[in-house]
Amino acid sequence: MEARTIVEGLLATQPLAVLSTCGESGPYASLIAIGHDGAAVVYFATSRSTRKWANLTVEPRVSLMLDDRSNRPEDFHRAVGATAVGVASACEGEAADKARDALLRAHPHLAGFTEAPSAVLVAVRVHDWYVVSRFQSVDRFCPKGDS
Amino acid sequence: MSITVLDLREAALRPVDEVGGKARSLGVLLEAGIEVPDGVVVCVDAFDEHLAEGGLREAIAMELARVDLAELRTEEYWDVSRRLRSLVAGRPTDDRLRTIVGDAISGITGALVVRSSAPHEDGDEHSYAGLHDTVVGVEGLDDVVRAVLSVWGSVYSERSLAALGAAGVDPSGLSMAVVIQPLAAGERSGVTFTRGPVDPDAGTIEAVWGLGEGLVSGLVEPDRWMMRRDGDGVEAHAGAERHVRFAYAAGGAQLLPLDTELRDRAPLEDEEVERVWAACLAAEDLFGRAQDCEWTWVDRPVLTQARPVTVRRLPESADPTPLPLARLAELAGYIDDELLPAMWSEASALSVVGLERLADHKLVGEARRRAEAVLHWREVYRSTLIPFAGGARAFGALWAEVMPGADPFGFVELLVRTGDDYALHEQLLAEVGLPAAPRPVSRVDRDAEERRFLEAARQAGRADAAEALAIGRASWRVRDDDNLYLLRIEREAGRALREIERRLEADAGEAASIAGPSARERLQAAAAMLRDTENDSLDSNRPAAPAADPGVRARQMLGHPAGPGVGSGPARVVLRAEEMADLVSGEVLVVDALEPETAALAVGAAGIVERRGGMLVHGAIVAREHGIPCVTGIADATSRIRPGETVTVDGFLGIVILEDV
Repeated sequence: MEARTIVEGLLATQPLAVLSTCGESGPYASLIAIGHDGAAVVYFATSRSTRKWANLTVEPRVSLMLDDRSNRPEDFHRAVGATAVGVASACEGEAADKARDALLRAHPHLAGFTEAPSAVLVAVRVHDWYVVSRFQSVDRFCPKGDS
Repeated sequence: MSITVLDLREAALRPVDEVGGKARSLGVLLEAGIEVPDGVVVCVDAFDEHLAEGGLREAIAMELARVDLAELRTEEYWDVSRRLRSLVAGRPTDDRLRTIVGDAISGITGALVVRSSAPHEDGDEHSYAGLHDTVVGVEGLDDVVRAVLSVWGSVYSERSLAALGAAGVDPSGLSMAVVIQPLAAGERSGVTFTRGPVDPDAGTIEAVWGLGEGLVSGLVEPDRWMMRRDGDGVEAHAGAERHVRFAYAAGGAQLLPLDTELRDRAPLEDEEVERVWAACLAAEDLFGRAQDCEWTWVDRPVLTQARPVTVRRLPESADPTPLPLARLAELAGYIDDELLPAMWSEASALSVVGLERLADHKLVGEARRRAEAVLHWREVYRSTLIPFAGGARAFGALWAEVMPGADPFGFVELLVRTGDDYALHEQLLAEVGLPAAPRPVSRVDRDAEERRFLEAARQAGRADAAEALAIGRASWRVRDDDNLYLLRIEREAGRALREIERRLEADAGEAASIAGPSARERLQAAAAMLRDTENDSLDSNRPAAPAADPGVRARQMLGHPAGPGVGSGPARVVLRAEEMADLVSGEVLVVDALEPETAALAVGAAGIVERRGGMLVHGAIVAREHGIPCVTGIADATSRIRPGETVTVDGFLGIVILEDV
């Protein structure tokens, strides 16, 4: 399957992703609920008191992991995963509305959370996806088109 | 998904999962020719559809995951219920529901009654009667839709959450159908048990003048007939003191005085007793097991409900539902005119006794008198003053009902004391020798908010809104002040204890003054009694913290958002009330249960964390009145948070973060 199709398929079917940030005390992985705008932008929300937010204020470069594993042996030939590499920034004003809409399309029950004044909506602008299939097959997919 | 509305007769043939237990049994009764008000049922699918929209079911499950239902205090059920009900009622209904229900009820004339018909109710051994709402006297499609939403929300009523919590059932997957019927408001009503719990050969009929609400709520004492099941009919009749009745009026059921000529008459004549009994036995024959039937008399007995007698009624002590307004109104007068003045004068009488001048044996007598006074007034506090705090909750429920979509705790702004009323509280604090806090800051235009509420209530046909507001305010005021009255009496017991201790100590030294060993023993016994009284305080059932795993520390703790805002600072962990004085401005107060006597000292805190949950605990009240970020319901807060460590309180999301972990 083509890398682009795999990424689009994962974005359409996986409501959660793993976010990796890096701060003063080193790398840190977090499970997050995501929304998206094509393959180029992934959105999530966090409270401003979290470690991931503290890390982002120090180092905005992040990585995201989406996959469709089922935790069974056949995952090794069947499962696909996609690692995004990009830059995170807080959304304000209209951009925040757009981010919220995208996130709530996938997670309507998070409406209260995203509206809390202490929550922040974050956009990850993805410059590259690394798509893994059949255990060791890896492709790079650039959503902007210049791979 | 579909939205199905069926005639009750059709409901007789459908599974309980689709129509709920009540609709099904009413349908079966109708089909069998037993007199029941004919109506329709809005099936479970409509409720499921409502919850599927906008992720409501998951939002409810997330809210429920914040708490351990089995561990909540009675008052917290109300809090959780309020949040869940506001989620359900705050989302507009599907337009299709309005159209389908409108068509279905177009043939029914006059006022309606909208009842819960839950698949889980009246069924297995975990079920209790009356967990969910019935809305009486509904007129017009707007009101019907509002009532349907309200009955849907009552799947999470405080009573339901308490019962399910005790049974270990997770309410997040529950559903609800709704029955809409013409209101059968007879002039006599009652409840029949076709088989008694003790004597399997006997049943009972209880009857009152007016609506059955009077009997079910316990506000109207019923006449009672013991019935023989072997065909011999009435075995005994116990008449009641008949003073009041419930009648249907605009906005619902109202408690009214009973006409004088009816006070000497039993609600049922002998022949009518037999007819009620026969109708209820017919229901028992139909269902093949003993029944608990509610009925009303409209020219003949009309059954409004039948369920197996095995379905229990929740014991009063476990029922977190606020008392009805009529009862609260009675209490308000009694508390203001009799209780509080009596507490004050008792404390004053105790305070003028010169304990130092009393002979030893008289001091022992005084000690006993004081210990008894403390125990007596604590019991009054538990049995009367705490239930009266339900007045604020009853107002909150009405607020949420007439202002759907508003902040479910916005009602607090209308209850908070202002102006002269607050001055009375300050005066009381001064008389008790406690510090006063800066006056509460109101974030809304109270008068405008009050007008908005009263107008919304008027449009919803709630004629009792002004009374509910007045009772809510009285309840809030008593909640502020009652501890201070009790504190005065407790201090008088403490004064006697100190005097005894002084004498015992002096006697042990050089200047022996106590007349002999037996007098000394009596003083020691009196001191022990006073200490026991002191230790048996009101909040002594605090759960012990589980043994901590030394390798595990909390980083972020989930509680209830109870005061909006975010605040950070070093933790001030307060274990005893007297440590409140150590709180420095800018610290985060971490407390098990903030006591009203020292709540004023919390005003400078950067944030408040309280172990007790809810929006109406004192920590939450002070926070809300003074704009302090606050999170309540953090289990073991005082042991999981260490003194001095940096804590962030997020009062929007209801989380507490330990920054150094």
